Amino acid sequence: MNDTAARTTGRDRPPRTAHAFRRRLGAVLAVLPSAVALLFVMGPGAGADSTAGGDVHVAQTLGDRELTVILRRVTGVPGPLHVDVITHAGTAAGRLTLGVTPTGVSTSASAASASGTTVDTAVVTLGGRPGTFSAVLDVTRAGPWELSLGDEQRTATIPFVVPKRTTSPAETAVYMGFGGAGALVLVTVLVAVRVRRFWWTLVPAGGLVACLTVAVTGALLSSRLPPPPSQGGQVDATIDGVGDPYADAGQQIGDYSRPPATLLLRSSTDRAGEVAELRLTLSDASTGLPVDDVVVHDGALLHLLVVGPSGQLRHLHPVRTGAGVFEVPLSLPEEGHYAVSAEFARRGGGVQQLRSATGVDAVPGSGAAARTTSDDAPPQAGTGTRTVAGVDVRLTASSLVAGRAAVLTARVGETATLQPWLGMLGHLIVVGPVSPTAAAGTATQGAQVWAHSHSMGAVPDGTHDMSGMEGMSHMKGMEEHSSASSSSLDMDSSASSAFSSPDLHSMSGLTSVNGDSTADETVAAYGPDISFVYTFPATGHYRVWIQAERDNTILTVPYLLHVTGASERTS
Amino acid sequence: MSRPTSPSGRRSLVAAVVLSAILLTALSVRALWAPWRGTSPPVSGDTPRGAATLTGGTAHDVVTLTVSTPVTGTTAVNVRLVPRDGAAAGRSSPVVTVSAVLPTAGHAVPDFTTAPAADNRYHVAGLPLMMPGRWEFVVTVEGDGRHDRLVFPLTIPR
Repeated sequence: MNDTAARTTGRDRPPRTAHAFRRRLGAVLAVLPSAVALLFVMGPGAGADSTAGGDVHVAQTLGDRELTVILRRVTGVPGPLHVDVITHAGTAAGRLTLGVTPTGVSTSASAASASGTTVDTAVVTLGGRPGTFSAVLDVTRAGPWELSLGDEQRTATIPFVVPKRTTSPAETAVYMGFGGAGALVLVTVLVAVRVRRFWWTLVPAGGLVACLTVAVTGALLSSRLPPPPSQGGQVDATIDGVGDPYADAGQQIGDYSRPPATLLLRSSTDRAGEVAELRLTLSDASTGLPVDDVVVHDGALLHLLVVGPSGQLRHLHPVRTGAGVFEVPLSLPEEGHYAVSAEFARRGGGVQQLRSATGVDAVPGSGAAARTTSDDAPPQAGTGTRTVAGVDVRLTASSLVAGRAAVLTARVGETATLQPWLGMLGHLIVVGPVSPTAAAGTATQGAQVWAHSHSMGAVPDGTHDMSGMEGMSHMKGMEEHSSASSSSLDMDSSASSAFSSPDLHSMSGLTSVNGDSTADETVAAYGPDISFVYTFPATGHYRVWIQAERDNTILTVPYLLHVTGASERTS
Repeated sequence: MSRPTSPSGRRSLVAAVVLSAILLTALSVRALWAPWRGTSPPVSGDTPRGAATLTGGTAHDVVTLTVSTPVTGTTAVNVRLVPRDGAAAGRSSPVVTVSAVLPTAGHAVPDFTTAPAADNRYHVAGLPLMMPGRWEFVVTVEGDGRHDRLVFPLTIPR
C-alpha cells in the first residue's frame, strides 16, 4: 500500500505515512544490532551447563575389597553423576552405600546453603563375580563435592569437582567484537544511504573499527593468556571459583606447590595372624596441620606399598575417612617386620613418597594362622618365568648395570588381554639394594631406593638393532592386540610408522587426548608385553615386583635382581 | 533511494545510530576489559564496607564467615552459625575456633577461640594475616558431641 502511494506521488515529497514508516524501519534496524550484541554478552559465558574434564578413576581398598570407583564426566548441572564400581576377582558380594555431598563456600549464601548436607544417595549391590556395578546420583550445581562410599563398617569420602564450562575473557571479547562489527556493518551501510552529510557515516564506521580491534586483540591474546589455576588441582576449589575461574584467578603465580607432608602410622594390632587396621595421618611439614588437600594421582588418592617379612608386596589404596586421615586393613599373615611407604600428591603439584619410619612389627600371635615362612619370596635371583594365579609371567631384562637405563620386559600370559590398572598397563616396584638373604621386611625398611615405575606397553630394547627387530622377537603377541583395537589404528598410524614399532598401539586409549576419558579396566585389550625403563642408581640386589591386571585379577610377581657395576660387566 | 527530508526524522535516525554504535563499541571494549577488573566483595547491611563474606556449611550448621578487612594486617573475624534443625532451646553454645593458614607458604596463625555473642554469632577481634596470598580460614565447631571443621579459602590480595 505504501509503494502504491509512493508511485502515485511521483517525484514529489513522499507522503507522511511512507516517510514515517522508513524512519521507524531505520530506527529498528539501527537498534536491532544492539539487541543482538546484548545476546552475545549474555551468551557464551552464562551457560551453566556441561563440564570439561574426563572421568575420575579412584582405587579404593574398602575393607577387604579392592575397588575401582569411576566418577563419569558430568555433562550438565543439575544432572546425573554416573558412578561405576569395578570389582576384581575375589571381591566379596555385598552392598555399598553411595552419597554425594556438595562442599565448598561461596560469597552467595543461597549457593552454599546445601553445603555439607548429603543431597542424594544410592545403593550399589556388588555381585560375586568381577564386573562393573553402577549407580546414578544427582548433582545440583557446579563446585566442589564429596562422594561417600560406605560398607557396613566404614565410609570413604572422595573429593571431586563438578566443573562448569566457561569461556575465557579473550574468547568473549572475540565473540563480542565480531558480533558488534557484523552489526555495525549493517548500520554503516544504512547510515551511508540515508544521510546527506557523509561524515555521519564515520560514527558507526568508527564503532566498527573499534569492535574489530577488540575482536582481533582478543583473538591474539587468547592463545597467550595463561589459563586460570585449576580449581581443586592447583588451588582450593570454591563454588565461585568453579563458576568463574577467571574472576577467581587473582594474581598469577608460577608455583602453587605446598610443603611436604609427614606420615604417622598407627596399627590397631601388632599380632601376627590378625588383620591390623592401619590409620595413616598426613600432616603438613610446615604447620603440622592435617593435610586435607590430597588429590587423585595415578588413579588413587593414596598408594600404600607394604613389603612383608618374607617379601610379599601389597599395593593398597587406603580410604579417606577424615581430614588428612586414611585407613586400610592390613592382614599380618606372619610375624616380622612390615615396611610401609605411601605415595600421594598434594594440591598444587608434586608427588610425594613417604616411608613410614616405623613400619609395623608383628609379634607372634596366639592364633594358628600365623606363618613363619612364605611362598612369596623369589626362589632365586634373576629374571625368568614365574607363575602367579595360574598365569605365566616371563621377565627379560636388557642389562642390569647401575647407572644405565635397564629395559625390563614382562610377558604376562600369552594373549593381549591385559587390563589397565590405575591407568597403567603395568607397575614396577623396586626396593634395594638389599641383602638377598635378609628378611625382606627389615631389609626393605632400611633400603635406600624405593621406586615405582609404570608401563604403557612394550618398548623396543635400545640395545638391539631396531631395523632387524631382534629386540622385538618377544612381542609378536602385539599383532593380536592390533586386531583387537583396529578402530584406533588409523589415529596412531603416523606415530607408529615414525617409530617403526607396532607396540605404540598398546598405548591407544590410555592417554587422555583433548580431555577425553581414558580406557578403564573393562578394556582387556593390551599387552601381553609390558616394558619398564628404569635406571638402577647403585649396584646390589633389588627386590622387584611387577604388577598387572588380567582376568580381573591383579597379579603381583616378585623377582630378585642383581645389578652390577659398569666395571664388573666389562671385566 | 530517496532520503528523509524531515529534520526530525533525520535527527532521530542519527540519534539511534549514534547510540547503537556507542553501545556496541562500549560493550565490546567492556568485554575485553572486564575480566581483568577487580571483584569487590559484596557489602550487606551488617558487614563493614570492604569485608569479605563467605558462606559454607556442615551437616549441622550453615556457617557464615566475615573477614572485616581482608588485606594484610590484623583483621576482625565474625562467624555466624545457623543450625539446620532450628535453634534448639537449652542447647549449650559450642566452642568455635578460628585459625588461618597460607598453605603455599606454610604459614599458620594461632587458633583463636571466639567470643560468643547473641544470635549464634562469634567474634574474633584481631587475627593476623602476615602476607598476601590464597589463605584458608579454618573454622572448627566443637560441642554437643560434634567436631566440625570447615575451610574457607579466601584470597588476601595485598
